[in-house]
Amino acid sequence: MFGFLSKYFSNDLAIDLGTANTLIYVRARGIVLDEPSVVAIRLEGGPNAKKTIQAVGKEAKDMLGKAPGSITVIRPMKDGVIADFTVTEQMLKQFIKKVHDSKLFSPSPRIIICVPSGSTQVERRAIRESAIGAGASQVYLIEEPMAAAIGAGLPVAEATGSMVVDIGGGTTEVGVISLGGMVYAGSVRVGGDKLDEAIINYISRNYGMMIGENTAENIKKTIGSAFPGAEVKEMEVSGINKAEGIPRKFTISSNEILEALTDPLNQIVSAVKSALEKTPPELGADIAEKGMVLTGGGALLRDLDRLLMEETGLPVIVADEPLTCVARGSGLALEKMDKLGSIFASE
Amino acid sequence: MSVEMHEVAAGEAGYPVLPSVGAQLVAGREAKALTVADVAQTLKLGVRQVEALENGDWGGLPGATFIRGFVRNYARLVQVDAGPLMEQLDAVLEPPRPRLDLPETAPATMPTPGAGQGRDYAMAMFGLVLVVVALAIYFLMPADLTELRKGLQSLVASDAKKEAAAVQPAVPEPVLPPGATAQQVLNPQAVAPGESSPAGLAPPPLLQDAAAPTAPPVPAAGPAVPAAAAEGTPALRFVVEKESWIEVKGGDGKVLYSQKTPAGSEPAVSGKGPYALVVGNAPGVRVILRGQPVDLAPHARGDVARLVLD
Repeated sequence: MFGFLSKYFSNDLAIDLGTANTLIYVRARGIVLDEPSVVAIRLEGGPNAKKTIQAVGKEAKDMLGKAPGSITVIRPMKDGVIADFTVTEQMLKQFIKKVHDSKLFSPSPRIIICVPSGSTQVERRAIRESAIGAGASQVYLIEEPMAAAIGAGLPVAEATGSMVVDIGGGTTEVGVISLGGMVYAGSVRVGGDKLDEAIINYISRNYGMMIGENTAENIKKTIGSAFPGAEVKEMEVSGINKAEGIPRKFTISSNEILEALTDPLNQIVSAVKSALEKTPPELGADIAEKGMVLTGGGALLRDLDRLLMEETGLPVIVADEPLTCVARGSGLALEKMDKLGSIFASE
Repeated sequence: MSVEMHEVAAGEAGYPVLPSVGAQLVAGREAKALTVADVAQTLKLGVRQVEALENGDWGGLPGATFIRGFVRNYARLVQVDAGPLMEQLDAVLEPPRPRLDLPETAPATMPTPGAGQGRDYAMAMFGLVLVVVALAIYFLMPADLTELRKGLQSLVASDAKKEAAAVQPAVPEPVLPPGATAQQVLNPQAVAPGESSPAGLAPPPLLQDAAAPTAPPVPAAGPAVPAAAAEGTPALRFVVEKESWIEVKGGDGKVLYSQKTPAGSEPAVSGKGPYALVVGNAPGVRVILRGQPVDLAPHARGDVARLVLD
């Protein structure tokens, strides 16, 4: 009844709706939520058969691969875009409810939401509709490379070329930005998930062992490396032996993981080189002087910056707090959303 | 430079003096037996940039975000802990904060297809309003416009009357002959045949003739009587179908006839020409000059016709 009033009691939000994690920035409060983009749904039988949301975020992620048949753990985002519309909407609704102070009115905020630069019109519309379904009164889209560059502290508004490489869970976004706009934007659907998948496949192929997604991610974070270093690390891993069907332990080294990651990393390098080829010469000169900035969770992969340095011959730096760059950048855009139009993306 | 100043200040305060960021990097590089060129080659930086890092010449480097990144890379290369170096940089440099200083107002807005459509929409709305107004007029006005025309005619006629009334005071009122009614005077045909002159005259008798046997001529019409008698037959005849004001002046400027004439009467005027006529409510009066009808329409302005007849 008083829905039209509720927007006056809701704080505007900026959401980095990522494949792996969802971060929410609230106006004047900063980042208030950083949860995995995972939903656990319980299927209830009997006379009141229905589906209920069992858990969202960290709690749901802990159930991944461990849930009984009555609980389905879903990652509704895939390759940076929505794979399951309804679950995404419910997940957003739960997250928005978590960060919302007022209990009197249901939240109806204005939302800035990040989209991959390579997403299609249909995918962007799905994200917009999902946010509206979750209670947003208005939705504005911002491309991830732009948000990442703002969050990394690059001089996006100046007449100088700034290059940002945002390696997320589902996509790698490469953007060249000058004067507040994207001069070049490229996107490949390779990210942290593909790296995990490559590790799973490598171990399956070479060790005959099956490991889960969480284990693969753990291996990547612990001994994963993108460039051969002097130090070789090893890690003990547990999995199911495919031949015996019995859980076994084995040890894997960082060099093996490097070998496993070669293919997806080459795709990332190709995307960066493609962006450099298509960058106008004047901006290319700026990038040669300053280098490129890595953001996103993928930037934390050991020696990824060295790999890109060696492959491109340009300086590469990792941004401070690369995991939150996109959320911080879209948060800053949120603070100035009423005055800035050029940084937002259209459908 | 500012780094050195910072160290001096810390030393004076009694805290242990840390070597500058650049000095720590140089120490690390020398410990690894690397040259500046080696570092520049590994980090893909220019030698000038590496020297700027070692000398603390932050002004020659691209900005806080990049300086922090370069120092972090350099520290990792020479295996120096980057954490304390970052803290020192925070004290020296402005911490890298996201900036978004885009121009907030556009000096002019380019026309867009959407805006053009808006203008067309406004024009269409304006046209629609005009059509609605036209329809309203069409349906609210009386269907037969003759009513309106009559109203306008009566208005013009009243104007003509006022005009004539303004002229009238100059002309003396005709005095009725004793024993004759106004009706008899104005409409001799209505008078009984026995009272009129020898009777049954085909042309209507002259106004003056009707009055002559019983009364002396009225002062105004007086001069016309001898003229009419001299001429014999009337030269000018009016057939009045609607009430009208008629004034006739003779060639010598004398008024031969001037009065309001009721509908149905047919006054005749004789006198010396040319005749200057003023006929009010001209559409309701027919003028016959020596047996020939005269069209008043070309001489009418509004409903009042002014003309001179020979």
